[in-house]
Amino acid sequence: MLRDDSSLAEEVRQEILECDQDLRALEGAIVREMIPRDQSDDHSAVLEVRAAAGGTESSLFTSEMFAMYQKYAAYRKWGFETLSVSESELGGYKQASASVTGTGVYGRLKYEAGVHRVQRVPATETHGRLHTSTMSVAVLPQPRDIEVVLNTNDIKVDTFRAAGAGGQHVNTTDSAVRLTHKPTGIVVSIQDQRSQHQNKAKAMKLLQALIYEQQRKTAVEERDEKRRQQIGSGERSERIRTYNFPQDRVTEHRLGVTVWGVAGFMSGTDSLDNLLEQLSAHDLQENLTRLME
Amino acid sequence: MPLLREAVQQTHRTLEASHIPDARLEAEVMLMNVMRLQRHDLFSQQETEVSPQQEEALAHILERRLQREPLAYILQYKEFYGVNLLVNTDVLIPRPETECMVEHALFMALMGMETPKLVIADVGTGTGAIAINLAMHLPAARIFAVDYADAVLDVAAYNIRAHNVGDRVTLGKGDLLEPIPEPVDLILANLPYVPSGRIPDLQPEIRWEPQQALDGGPDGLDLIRRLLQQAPSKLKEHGIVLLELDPEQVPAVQAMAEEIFPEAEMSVEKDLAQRDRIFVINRGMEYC
Repeated sequence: MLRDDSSLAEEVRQEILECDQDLRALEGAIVREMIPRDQSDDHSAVLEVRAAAGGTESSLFTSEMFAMYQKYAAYRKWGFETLSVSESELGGYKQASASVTGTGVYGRLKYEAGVHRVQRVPATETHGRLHTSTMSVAVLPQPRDIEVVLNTNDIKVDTFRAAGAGGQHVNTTDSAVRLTHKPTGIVVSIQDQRSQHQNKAKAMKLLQALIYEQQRKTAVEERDEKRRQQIGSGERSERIRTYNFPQDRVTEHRLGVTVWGVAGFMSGTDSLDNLLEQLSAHDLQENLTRLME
Repeated sequence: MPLLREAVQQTHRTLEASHIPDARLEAEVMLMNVMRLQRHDLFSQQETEVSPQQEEALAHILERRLQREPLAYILQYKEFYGVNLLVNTDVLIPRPETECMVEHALFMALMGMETPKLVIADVGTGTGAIAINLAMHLPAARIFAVDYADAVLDVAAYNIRAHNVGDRVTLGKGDLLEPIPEPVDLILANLPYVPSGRIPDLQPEIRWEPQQALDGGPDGLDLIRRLLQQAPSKLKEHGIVLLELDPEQVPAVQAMAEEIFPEAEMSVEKDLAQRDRIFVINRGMEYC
């Protein structure tokens, strides 16, 4: 028995509607897949903070930034393992680095790379003048072990022990290890109160990350994607954010966005997370736009 | 009440003024200890106040440290090869160089041995550092850990229990290899090897350590000499001996070893400071 035309037409119309929706969803998925993503987004990362030359303010701010990232890692339930710290005699840090582990850590933290500027009245300032100083953040994707194969012959291992017999002749807390990667000249050193064995393991991890970053940067330049990765390229000359304490605001220059509450921001919780979310969305948008061109 | 970062800085300065080595590192360790913090907390908690009780505890530690008492004895532990060991003045504080002994022993064990069921002797075990780490990485091995005094063996026993390797590590008391009941595949010995005459010139911290654990006699080789003499009857036909020593002792030890084990292959392994540290006598074990 034939059904009448109108109900058949209705069925076909429904089917067309559904196919249309599926088509649009698939188109969206194809476009998203086509956006070139940084392969390293899923990876863990090595975070490095560095003070600008001279000035107590810069090194103090550097140590505060390091603390902020440690708190943010805790907030995101990521692992945070300090790899190296270099103190400034004036207080704060000259340099510090940490291994931040978890899924998608690099994809998130990469937006922190660049120069951060602080404006505030330092504790030591007697006339209430506002000082401006900077510090820089570098974020390197941490390779999974299989991605960076290091030839042990290329690595020179040594310690900081002075001349002398060592062994039973010496009793110290330090068991620092220094690794030099001969082909690239990269040197890492780890000093900790833990066993030399642990220090060597940490140093190897840091070395792997640095070598991977070098390899990755070369590959990226070859593909001419430097422009595309502007936001997350880790270029140290970009001033990306200003922390103004008297006005209690944090201004993100890449988005032209101001976040209120410096202390809240530096507590490494919602405020920072939200901003990183915005940066991520902006990045995605940019990539999408470029794709359409 | 001072902030954590102020306390670290202050402690650092105090230690440095007394020329205590690794002042900064030690200051951090002391604060980590009294405030029960992990290393990374030193940064995120730097604005935390140190309580009066914590200040007092720190003062006690500092007072002892300024007498040059080793930090490991004050805190009562030393980390070795990733493992925390109880230490007290009855035992020598494990040195980082000895970690290379563990590494080489593991390398040889894992690369060359036909059977995982190795029998190993750790002579002069002290804290049990070597024996415990080998037991942890070689689950099928049987290890004899020996030393000459009850007080020392008590510490080793504690550490063996703490790391749950009592089923595979047996303690023995006696002179060098004498307590070993059967020939073994691997003999490891970190025996005292400092020449007596050198001891007074060493850093003050060393005065707190048991002198018998350091003093190897006039040339530092008294115990190594006797061990080598005992070794042939306690080492299997294809066994290996690993001895920790000083770089300048290599020629003398080589001469002794060649006399006692004429057919064996000799080699020297370096520690991470690139100094000759481990003398290897290989009676015929093949490993890649």
